[in-house]
Amino acid sequence: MEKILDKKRLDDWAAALTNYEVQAPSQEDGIWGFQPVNGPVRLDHTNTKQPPKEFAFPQREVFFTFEQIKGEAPRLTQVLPQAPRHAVFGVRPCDGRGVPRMDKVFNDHVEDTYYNTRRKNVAYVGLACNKPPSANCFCLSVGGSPVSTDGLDVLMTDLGDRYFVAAVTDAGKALMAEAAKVFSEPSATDQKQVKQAHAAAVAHPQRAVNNPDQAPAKLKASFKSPLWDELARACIGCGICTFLCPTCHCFDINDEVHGKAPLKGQRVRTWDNCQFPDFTMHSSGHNPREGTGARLRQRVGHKFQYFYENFGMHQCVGCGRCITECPVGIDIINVVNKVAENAA
Amino acid sequence: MPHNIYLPNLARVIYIKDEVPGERAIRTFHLEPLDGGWFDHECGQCAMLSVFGRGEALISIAS
Repeated sequence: MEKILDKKRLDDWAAALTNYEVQAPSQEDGIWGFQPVNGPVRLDHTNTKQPPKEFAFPQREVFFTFEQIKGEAPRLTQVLPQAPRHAVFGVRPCDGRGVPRMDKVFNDHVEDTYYNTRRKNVAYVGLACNKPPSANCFCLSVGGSPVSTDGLDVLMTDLGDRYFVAAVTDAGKALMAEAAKVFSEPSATDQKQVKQAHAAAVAHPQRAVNNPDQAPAKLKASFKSPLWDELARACIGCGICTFLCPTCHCFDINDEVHGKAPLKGQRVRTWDNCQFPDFTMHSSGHNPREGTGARLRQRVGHKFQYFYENFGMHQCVGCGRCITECPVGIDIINVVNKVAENAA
Repeated sequence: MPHNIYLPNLARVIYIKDEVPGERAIRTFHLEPLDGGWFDHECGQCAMLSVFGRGEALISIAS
């Protein structure tokens, strides 16, 4: 399904989605983030500081509550997500490509009830990047594209005074069907212009990981390279690189106790971070990833080697957030390229 | 609704045997499942044991 949406009708489309909580990029203190729509929808954003992964994988969620009276068996009450149906506008194609990667992680061997319950209630409305929204974009070199539909339900392309809107999935068709009156049929000129816009987007210069297909083997051969310590020397372990990554998914599970008599509490999942020293700390005190070099190697290896070995694709989608936001200038493109160049 | 892997199997400690006394005492805890079922495991797997309100520990499984 391909349609034309006059830019003046974008708000009408959003308003027609009464069965959804509509989210769109919003700017606060100069920072773009996804927020519930409460006014005109803006799609003039660069890229959001946080990716949209939180809609299926929130920073914190409760698995179940427990209550135990002394001498009796604990009573558990499962807490399944009651998240509303989300329609998320303005998702960049790199973040869209993060979605199927997260789907794989949370459905490999076992199904993650919490992730899947949320995931099936999210529709991603993408916006093609007519030009790179960041100087650190590198989606093309990791198999993506500024006009990729991978992981998206709808892809919108800016054609000046209107959007070319293409449904990718049935969920996307349903979103468009909810507001059929706001769309019009594309003309031959519209079809020609969207092809030109996409061709120009793909041709726009970007930074690049060199020879990404060789990265898994090169990284594997460089496991003991002293370069890791050298490249990670400035790392302060703040973890911003993974917290803002659209495909990082590590988590911790803890019990939060709220009462002692009777014992009451809840089991909670929160995002965790492989760049933190405690992430791999054993109770014995031994830490197999003691230094920042080992932790950088884990992050980069996961993106360009281990995930590739498990699923046949790079986990990195080239959004460039980890580069842009790193306070000490660690650059994953440079890291992969340098390690690969120096591989035996 | 698929099986929720995050819901734990409940068990009761029915017997504790003191193996080695002292500061680093070793004790063996005998557990009895409360919900009738138990879990399968494969070689190399381990179990996360938790006691609500007290904490948790990763336990190796000897086959």
